[in-house]
Amino acid sequence: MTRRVAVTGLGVVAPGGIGTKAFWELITSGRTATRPITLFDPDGFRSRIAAECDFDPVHAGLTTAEITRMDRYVQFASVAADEAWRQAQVGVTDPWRLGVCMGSAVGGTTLLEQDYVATSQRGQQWVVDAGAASPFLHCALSPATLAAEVADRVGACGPVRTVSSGCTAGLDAVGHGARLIEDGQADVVVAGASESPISPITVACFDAIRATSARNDDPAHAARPFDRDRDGFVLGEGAAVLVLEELDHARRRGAEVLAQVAGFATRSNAHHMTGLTTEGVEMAEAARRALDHARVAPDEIGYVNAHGSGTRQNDRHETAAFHRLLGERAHQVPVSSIKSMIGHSLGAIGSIELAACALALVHGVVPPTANLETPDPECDLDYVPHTARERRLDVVLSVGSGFGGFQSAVVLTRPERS
Amino acid sequence: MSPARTGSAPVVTGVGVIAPNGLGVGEFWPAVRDGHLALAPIGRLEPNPYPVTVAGEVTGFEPAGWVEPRITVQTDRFTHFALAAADLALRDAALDPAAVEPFEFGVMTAGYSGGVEFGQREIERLWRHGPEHVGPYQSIAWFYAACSGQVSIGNGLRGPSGVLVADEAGGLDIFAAAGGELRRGVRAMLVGGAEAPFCPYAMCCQLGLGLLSTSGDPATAYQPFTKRAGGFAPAEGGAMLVVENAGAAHRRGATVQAVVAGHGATYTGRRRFDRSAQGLLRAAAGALAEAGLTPDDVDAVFLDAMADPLADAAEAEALRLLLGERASRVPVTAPKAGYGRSYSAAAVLDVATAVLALEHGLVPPTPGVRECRFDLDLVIGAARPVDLRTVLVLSRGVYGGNSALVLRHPESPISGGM
Amino acid sequence: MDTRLSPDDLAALISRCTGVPVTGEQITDPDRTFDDLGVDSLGLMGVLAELQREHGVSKNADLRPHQSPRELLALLPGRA
Repeated sequence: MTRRVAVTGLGVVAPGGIGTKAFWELITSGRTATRPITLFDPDGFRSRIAAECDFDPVHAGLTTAEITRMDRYVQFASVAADEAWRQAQVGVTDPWRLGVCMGSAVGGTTLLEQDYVATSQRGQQWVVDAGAASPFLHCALSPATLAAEVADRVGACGPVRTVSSGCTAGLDAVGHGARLIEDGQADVVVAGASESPISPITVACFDAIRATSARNDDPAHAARPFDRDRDGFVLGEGAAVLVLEELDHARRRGAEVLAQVAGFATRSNAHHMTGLTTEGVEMAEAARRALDHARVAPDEIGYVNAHGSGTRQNDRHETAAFHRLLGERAHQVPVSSIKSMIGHSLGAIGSIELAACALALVHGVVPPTANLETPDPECDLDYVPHTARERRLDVVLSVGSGFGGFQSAVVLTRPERS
Repeated sequence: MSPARTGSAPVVTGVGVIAPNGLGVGEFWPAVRDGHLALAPIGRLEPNPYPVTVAGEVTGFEPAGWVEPRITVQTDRFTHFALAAADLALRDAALDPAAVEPFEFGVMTAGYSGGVEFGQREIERLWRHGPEHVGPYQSIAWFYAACSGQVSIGNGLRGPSGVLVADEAGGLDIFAAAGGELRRGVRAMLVGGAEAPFCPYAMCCQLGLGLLSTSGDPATAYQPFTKRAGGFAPAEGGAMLVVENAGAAHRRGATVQAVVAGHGATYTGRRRFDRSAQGLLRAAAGALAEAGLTPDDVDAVFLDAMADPLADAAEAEALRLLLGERASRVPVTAPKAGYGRSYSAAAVLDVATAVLALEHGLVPPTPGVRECRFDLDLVIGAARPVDLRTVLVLSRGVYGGNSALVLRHPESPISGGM
Repeated sequence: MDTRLSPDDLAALISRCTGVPVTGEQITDPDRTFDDLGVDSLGLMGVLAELQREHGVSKNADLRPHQSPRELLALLPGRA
């Protein structure tokens, strides 16, 4: 008997609003949450814009002890996990059959940088002063603590792990979590991803490779996936958590099933740590494998949630991949990038995009690509510019592309699909 | 359990090791077998104002002998270890990646601390000199996915990639994740992990764990399971193994070194070593069940060996619960007492050691340890000849993960399998 | 700010930044691109950043791997 994976809960912390409802409203409105950086003084940086979360941990329900102990990205994940867990109403479950699988690309970088500044006297000492470090600094070294904190919240005693495969981590964490259920290692898995990368070192490292947009005078229109005038991605932050559950387990207890995680695959370009091949072969291959696993034909895809980062090379690469995957149907399938509205939150975005895909299935609405004013002749698909579109969806594909040459794909289907 | 689980256990066909006690299995195995003590004052930390002074450092490793200069400048030391170990593993397996179908050979690594030394250099440039001084390689050198990415690119591996940051126990979980890919049709995976946590800032982060030995005497710094247990000596290094689909390995005439027969993982709370006895027990029982075996089949155990009094007691208790009256008769060992605990790489090195132990019919000793405070048959002094068919490897993370992996001699009848 | 770099100096700077061994002769060869030398886009960005910080090259200067080191040399002040 094949074990299948249901989504029974969603939680989101994203720029433009905390909670799933605010998130869905924003990304179907076509409004953007990109703005000048306020989390630190960005004077002197090339890119001084980001999509920040207006996040108040006290208001979000975290205790003083949690706020003290947790780095910002762990706080996001905790709040998103609480929302998803409340919605799923799993109730009594065997804790040894409950797992956690969280993703993050840069983990505790924010705390690592803060404490670095304190222990090095603003970079003056190579041999840092350990006495000036926060007692929680050790948690920042390894994002293993991200999954552990979420596990403690839901009482998980099964497999608990963090996936840190860079910018595909958000897709990979959900895919890996789904496999824990398919393979019988767990019946319920709290899966998702979180990131809070808007700190000087991360902004500087993307400055150095000109990956981020320098449209500082017009932040609201800076994230322009598939637009001719795009100039890089806008850094974002946030978290999303999905409660994954073995389908029969969910049905037996009468849970509302939002979607199924039907397929997942990753492939690598073995080409370059940041460069992409022009043909999109590996992304198409990852998508094809994920569809095979889901027993879905490419013809059945109703919506593609693109990586759509808005870098010059990504959007071309991805368009080529979709042509390769969808063939003659490529022009008929809506493709959009919500990064145009909430930025690119590195390891978190894949899970946030899967939350968007699940909501798209539930509501029968495709979120748009904002800021797509002037089509790029090299990007010739239907990117759903500006305005959300109603469409009954049965199968949704979400793809991601990350440093290391990694390409990932996840297929979501309607709950009743067999 | 998934129907694909039976009779298709992955097999180990190549081992590559970069460890404080040897580069390559040709050096590593004799050092482990003879209980060579490779702990020493940390040369990379001079001056060393920190309370931890003894560690397992990889000496005599020149990147130039292993890594192209073009890649050396864009990578941290932990990635140098991973690339070198991957190269050794491929040679040991006599497997040319070019001979494997595209998309069917991938790489997965476990991580814990990432490229901290590279990161500290760049973050120092940022805070000392300004954002424009951060180099282009910071974006690809520091993050946890650097090893999987560079190993994929360096060896032309276009199959699945993955990165788990799941504590020390992630070093075992990564074999289960890779097994999941092999079960789904991938032919071969490079699996492993690497750590290089000896720059000042990485040390500053680790100190907060409160689990590191502050003994200044290399001969007694890491004394697990003794009355003197007072923390572990940290270490650097890495290991990569070639794990193949059994059928594919047989078809190409590969020498099978061991069978990866079963895995289990649980979580029992951050710093709750008192609860880890149940966690380890359930992980081990799960791994044996997956292998189609019982605790009576276990011929030797490779211990986690945290060298914390509470953690050691919990591990001894787990063995008592698992093995019953056999607990005092089954040889158990902690070879890492001789070269230190390299976080996510520690468990991978234990898997490498277990594979070599199966091959040689020898249980290597726990170096530097002269007594055991528990009713266990801890192998001390000389290696013990044992007709090994089934070995159990245990690993536990400082943030609550407990994992177990069962390895079998290639000539054992296969009754189960991951 | 020292702006006078010889081809040999520039070759040494490129080697240091990218790990790719480059000679002064290769710098002046008009038919040789950075791709040919094995210098990729990331490496080139590091080289440009250093030239911008230390050797007066314009902040807006851009160069791609399909271009030649000779074109890079031309970006240095006083060498148009």
